[in-house]
Amino acid sequence: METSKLKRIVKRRRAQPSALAWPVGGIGNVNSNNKLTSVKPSPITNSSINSTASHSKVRRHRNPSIRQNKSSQQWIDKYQPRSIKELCIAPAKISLVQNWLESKYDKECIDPTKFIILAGATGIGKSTLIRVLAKELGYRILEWNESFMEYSRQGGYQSSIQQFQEFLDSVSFPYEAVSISDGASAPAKKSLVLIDDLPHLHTQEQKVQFQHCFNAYIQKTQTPTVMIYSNGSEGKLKPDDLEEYLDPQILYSPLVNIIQINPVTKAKMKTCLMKIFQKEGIRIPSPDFFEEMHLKHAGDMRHAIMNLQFQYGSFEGKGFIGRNSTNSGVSTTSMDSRDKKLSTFHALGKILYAKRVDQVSQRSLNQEEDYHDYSWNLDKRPQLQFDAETVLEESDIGIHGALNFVQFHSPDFFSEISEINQAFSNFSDAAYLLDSPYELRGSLFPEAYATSICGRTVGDTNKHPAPSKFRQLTAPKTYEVKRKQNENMIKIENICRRLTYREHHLALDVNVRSSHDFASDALPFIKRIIPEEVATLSSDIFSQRNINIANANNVDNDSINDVKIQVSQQTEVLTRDDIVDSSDDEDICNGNVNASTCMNDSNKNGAKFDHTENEPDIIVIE
Amino acid sequence: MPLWVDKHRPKDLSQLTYHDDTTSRLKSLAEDPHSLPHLLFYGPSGAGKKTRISCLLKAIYGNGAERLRLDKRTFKTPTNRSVDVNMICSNYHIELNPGDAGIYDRFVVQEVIKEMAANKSLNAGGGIMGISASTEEDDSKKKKAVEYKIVVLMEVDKLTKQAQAALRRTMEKYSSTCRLILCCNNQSKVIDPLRSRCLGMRIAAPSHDDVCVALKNVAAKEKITLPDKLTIGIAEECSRNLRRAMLMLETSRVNAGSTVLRDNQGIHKTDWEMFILQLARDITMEQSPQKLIAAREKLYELLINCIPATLILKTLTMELIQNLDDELKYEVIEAAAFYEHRIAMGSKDIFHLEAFVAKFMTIYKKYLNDMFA
Repeated sequence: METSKLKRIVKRRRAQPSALAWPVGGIGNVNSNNKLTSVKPSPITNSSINSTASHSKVRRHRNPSIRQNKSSQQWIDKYQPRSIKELCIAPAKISLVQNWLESKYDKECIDPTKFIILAGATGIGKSTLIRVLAKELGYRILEWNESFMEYSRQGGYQSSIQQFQEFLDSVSFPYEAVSISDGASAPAKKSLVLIDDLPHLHTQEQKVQFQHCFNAYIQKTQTPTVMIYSNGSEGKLKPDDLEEYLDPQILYSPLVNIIQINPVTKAKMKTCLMKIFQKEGIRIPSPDFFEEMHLKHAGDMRHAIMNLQFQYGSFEGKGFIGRNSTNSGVSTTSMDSRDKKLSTFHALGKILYAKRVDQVSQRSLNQEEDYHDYSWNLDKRPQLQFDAETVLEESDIGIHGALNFVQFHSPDFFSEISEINQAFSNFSDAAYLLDSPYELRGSLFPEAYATSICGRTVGDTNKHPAPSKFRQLTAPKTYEVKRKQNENMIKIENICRRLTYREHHLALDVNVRSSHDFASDALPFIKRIIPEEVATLSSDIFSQRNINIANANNVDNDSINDVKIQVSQQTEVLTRDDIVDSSDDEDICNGNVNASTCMNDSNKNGAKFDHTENEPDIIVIE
Repeated sequence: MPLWVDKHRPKDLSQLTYHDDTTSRLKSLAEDPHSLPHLLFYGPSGAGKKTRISCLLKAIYGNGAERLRLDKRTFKTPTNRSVDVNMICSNYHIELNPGDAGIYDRFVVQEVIKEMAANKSLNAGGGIMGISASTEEDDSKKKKAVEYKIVVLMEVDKLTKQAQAALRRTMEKYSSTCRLILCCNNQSKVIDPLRSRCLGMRIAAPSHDDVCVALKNVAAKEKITLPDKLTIGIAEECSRNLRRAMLMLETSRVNAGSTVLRDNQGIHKTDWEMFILQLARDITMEQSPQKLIAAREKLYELLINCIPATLILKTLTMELIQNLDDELKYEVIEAAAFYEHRIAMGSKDIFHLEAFVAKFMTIYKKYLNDMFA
């Protein structure tokens, strides 16, 4: 049990070495560490180690010029599947694609599908499937890949969409002598189009343009076309992602077939890896090892093989195994496993909903690992389902953004004001830590603390969560407020400057003043005294709506003092009725939502107190 | 037509109506401009710091110090960025707000002072004591005496620490040809070495009586009848800020529509204060997460309108504690002080404001529950 605990710690540390500047020396005696130092550097295990294996990277490795000799060939290329049998994809899916490809050049075929989309996580062999099939069937692959395109020979820049469109035009008729890679190819050869990479779409116009040309292509093309799509977030494909590229009408029409490819199964992965072990002459580790490999690489075959080569491949003596097979699988944990990635909203959702482990499973867990007992007793609540720091590490949102998000959305998840208070005071702490000046930091600690606070606050303080329901997570208003504030600041500065120059003499304090003071101190009065001077600004800066609602709610009062009296009266009412007073609620509703009634009220009573209510027109606009 | 606040601003040391001690000291400084040290004016806004500085300048240099022009200077920083800074100049002095330069303030401060120190004063107008009609001999005597120019730096408390440190070195180096007058609200944000090199001039906020006197003066000059009750009302509402009092007076005049002001016509409060009042009312009425979300919207609105967060917090606290038990007042003010410190130290204002609102709601709800449970 002791060791397993240690293992877990090691795993976490390794996964996030940069953000947590904790000393690792204390746990350095885990055998993997020693092993790492003894590794003799291999010429090619360089860049592939930490990469999450993007397409372009792999392509580059396939470039023969990198290969130095046969023994140092990348395993990923060396053991590339050569036949259908070697593929790691479910046979049903393979035959589906194969049948379709064969039928396309069959005159009697009535299958309307012209276009298939292979969707699935990275590194599970989608592209390989097509390549292998093409080889077996004798098809030629016409491939478009953004990274292959260069600046056009004429010297001018051609947008990647244009290039893509030209490519599509050139390949839409299969028997014509298309010359993409080699013009001398036989025209009669059957071909298929492989779209392995899509142009980057930055703007909305580009998206529309792309959709348009893609749709046109799908309708007219005679060539079977396969698109590989691996951008699914967290390995799952969401239909919206594809809708960005394709018009839904086409996407869901019989012309298009979407095939979802699942990650490699445990058994498949084991078979593949076993084969490699055998061929390389490496002693086969215990079954746990494969178990772990699968877990770690989440079905990403490419990544698994690369890691395997890193761990075993570069040893001269093939018999040398990095570990005793008795405790195999232990130290691999410290090797870089494939980084998990959580989408922003998934991570935020985890933190905000702060779900806890079921009581039952918690109990059984406690029996095994007694160190949880402490927290269990302290809090009477089961553990959180997640590790807040890890969640934030894995998400792509920075701590500043995360803090803003969590703080903005958290009140909706609470039901007790005192708990919010606690949460907000924690957020304030976190913000304070993040703001601390650089010279006082000296270390990375404030960020790490803030991360912990940000991730754990809601889970910790929210003892009585509001009933679970769907909540829309939007961008926090904080940014919008900042932006508008800056805009208004500029406007106010301009006004301030203009007033300073009014009528060719320097007025208004003869001063280069701070606009903050000006906005709060002078502007409200100046608006009354010389409204024409600030007319450009008053409509959009001080939002009349809210100010007038504030006034409209007090329609029965003549002056501020009366408002104050009313406040105290209402407080009394409130206390008498134990904070449940429907009339109060209504009043508030009027204030915030039902602006039109307020507007009427204020119009009716406008004459009575001209000093606050002589701008009804502006409310009407609202 | 200029605003009353500008029109009736004292132009001369003798016209100042309050802080007579300070005024007489300034007079004696101006009598012997040779011994003028670097000065640091500090005090709340609307107390009259700026007015006193310009009066002092006039007393030293004579009418020439009143001929002002607005300049826009562009500085090139060592990193090849250009920074625009607005400044107000006369032949004898230059006034700027180095905070405009943002992070390049250190550079701007040094450049300006170096430049000023490099050219000796033109001394064209000579120094004329503002009080007595001065004779030709006085003039010539002053001409020789005043050999330095003055740099007025506004809002030194907003300067970065680096800029303040730079100021320290520069002001020693060039003190023979250049004097500095620093002006700030909060002396505690000015670094110690700087404070020790300057003669501190504390300009306290005017008392209610002082404000009333000033208001009456202006009313007399503008030939309007200002009833006593309204005067006192304005003095109480202006939070001892004379600039604000003057603006309130002129607003009342505009609202009244005639030169005769009435006692009962009410004082125009600023719209943002009304807004905060409403906010305070809301959060004392009901304490729930929903209310907190509504309150947050109001806070956003205030921030968007460029109301400083510390001011929001202060005003809100003052409104909130009015109807509270003494025991609660203590707690609420403690919380307010805590979060005001946070706001001053950090940049995420909204976090701290909301935390304060939540804190108040909790305190208040607990109080109500304890009372009626």
